[in-house]
Amino acid sequence: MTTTSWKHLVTDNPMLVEITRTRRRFMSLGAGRSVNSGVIAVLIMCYLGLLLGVLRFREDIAPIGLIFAQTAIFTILAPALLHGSIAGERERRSWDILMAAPVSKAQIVAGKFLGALTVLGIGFALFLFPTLITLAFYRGHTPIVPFLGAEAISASFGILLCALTIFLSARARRSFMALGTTLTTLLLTLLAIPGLVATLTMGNDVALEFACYFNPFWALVALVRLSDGSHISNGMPALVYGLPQVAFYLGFSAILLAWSINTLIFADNDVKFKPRKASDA
Amino acid sequence: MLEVRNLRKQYGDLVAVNGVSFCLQPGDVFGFIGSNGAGKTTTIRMISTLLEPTAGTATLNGADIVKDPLAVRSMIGYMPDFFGLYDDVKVWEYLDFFASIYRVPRSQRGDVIDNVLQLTDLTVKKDAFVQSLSRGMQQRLCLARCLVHDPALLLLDEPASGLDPRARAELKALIGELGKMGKIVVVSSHILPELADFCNTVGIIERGDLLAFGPVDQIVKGAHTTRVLELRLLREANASARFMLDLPHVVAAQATSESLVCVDFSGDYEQQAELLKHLVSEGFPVIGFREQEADLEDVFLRLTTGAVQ
Ligand SMILES: Nc1ncnc2c1ncn2[C@@H]1O[C@H](COP(=O)(O)OP(=O)(O)O)[C@@H](O)[C@H]1O
Ligand SMILES: [Mg+2]
Repeated sequence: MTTTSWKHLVTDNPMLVEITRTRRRFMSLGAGRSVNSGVIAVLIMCYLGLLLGVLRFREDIAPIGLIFAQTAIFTILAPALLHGSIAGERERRSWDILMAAPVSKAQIVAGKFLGALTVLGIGFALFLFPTLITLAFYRGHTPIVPFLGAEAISASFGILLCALTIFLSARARRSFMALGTTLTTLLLTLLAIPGLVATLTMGNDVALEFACYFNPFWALVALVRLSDGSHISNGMPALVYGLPQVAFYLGFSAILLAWSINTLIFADNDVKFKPRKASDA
Repeated sequence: MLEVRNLRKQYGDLVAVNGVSFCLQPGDVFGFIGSNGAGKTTTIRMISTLLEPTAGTATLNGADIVKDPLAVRSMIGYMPDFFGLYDDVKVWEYLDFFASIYRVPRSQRGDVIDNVLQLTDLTVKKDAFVQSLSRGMQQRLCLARCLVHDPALLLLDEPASGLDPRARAELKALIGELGKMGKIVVVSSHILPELADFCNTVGIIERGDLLAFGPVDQIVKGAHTTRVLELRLLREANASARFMLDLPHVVAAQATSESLVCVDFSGDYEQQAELLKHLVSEGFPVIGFREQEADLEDVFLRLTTGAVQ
């Protein structure tokens, strides 16, 4: 990335106010925001429960197991929080107002994405604390390299989730449609396709390995097995878990974001969203 | 200065805006009048850089809407014909969001927000949630949002629609105020009386064609080659109408009731006085003789055919 585009998208991007906005939207309490306050209260309870559980069973919980749980939560949380990021603006018709402001499409997408990363970053930081506790006390063996690999997979997959949700939100007319397509996409790629492959090939390990190679949960399980000292008997060599997934997630995220920026062009006005007249067809 | 040159927008076969041209100076409050579907919104959206023109362009203080949209955007405040507000944000948060998007320096934002809130009379609602405001207040909040960056041009698309009479009057006063502040204000409406009293320039658009454009009084005069005189007589209205038809400069004369006659008169004021002299010397009992005030409404009805696409 050149310095000018870095300035354009990051340091000099007025849409970074999205970060403040995200923080206000999800993290402000008080009267008039009772739903928010309730959700936050529940989340705090859950987090405290998690901390207590981790402290109590610190010797029995595998660190990568906790990272697995964190990734699962991201998979639900990212679409739940971000599906409206662009489709919702369009639904409320605040989109036109944004488009009439002196910001470029790339700046809008960058702002939305960085705002999303803030939420993700907070989630990641919250989980890091209990994860480090288990890392220190787990009675099984956890070598540091697979552990870091697992964290990197979780974080980069989280980034991909944000990019995917924003992309689908940029293409959808309504936010619930964005949510639906995002969850369906995830369900298909993470569960249905591997399941189908497993059934069709009748448990052929190599085929399954291929179908699940970029599945973060599969990779995490592989890393758990690796760190336990056991190795995968057949299929892909164990060494190839970690970096390839991270590179794939980040690269794919970049593609999706670039594509989102292009997609915004036809969200520019409501031409495509008006019912077409018979004479146009 | 806003200069619109041959702005045209076509959707397939349908010409929504057919080569509209006009020019506005700072302080002009421009009433953009046309029935539904005439092309007002399309024109405004093209000027606000949201829609790409099929042909033609416009420049605002030298910046071209097609070539340099980002520069134009920082100089305009666009208020669409819908609110597009966010829920779950407070009034000041909403304004703060737009102030930062429009690059108002952080140190000035507080003052700017206070100023626009005061101008739009929303100071007491600063900490209220946007969705708790009344319709009129939401409309004023939208206007406040358009003002945070002190734009040179305000594009207000049907701002008064759906407001009660009181809110409407307040909005009018506010728009007049903005014109006095030296901004160019474009206000569209399909209801004529709504605009007539506070605009100094009007344009009448129908089916994408700008039929008339200019200062209000000039438009009103320009559209009338004849003046309408209204005569009140004690009796003999019909006879006087017949008599007048033979007099010079009388284009038409018709008795509209027992005692009223309407005359289409093409002469000047001297000749108008002559006409009265003739009538009186002929013995007609004239008790009233006045020129009907032409207003924008007449011009509008005269120019447009009422056809809607
Ligand atoms: N996106 C579009 N696609 C096709 N036709 C459109 C579109 N937008 C507006 N039109 C047509 O253009 C004409 C002008 O519309 P508009 O500018 O909205 O009128 P106004 O604002 O004066 O009521 C109408 O006939 C409308 O149907
Ligand atoms: Mg309109």
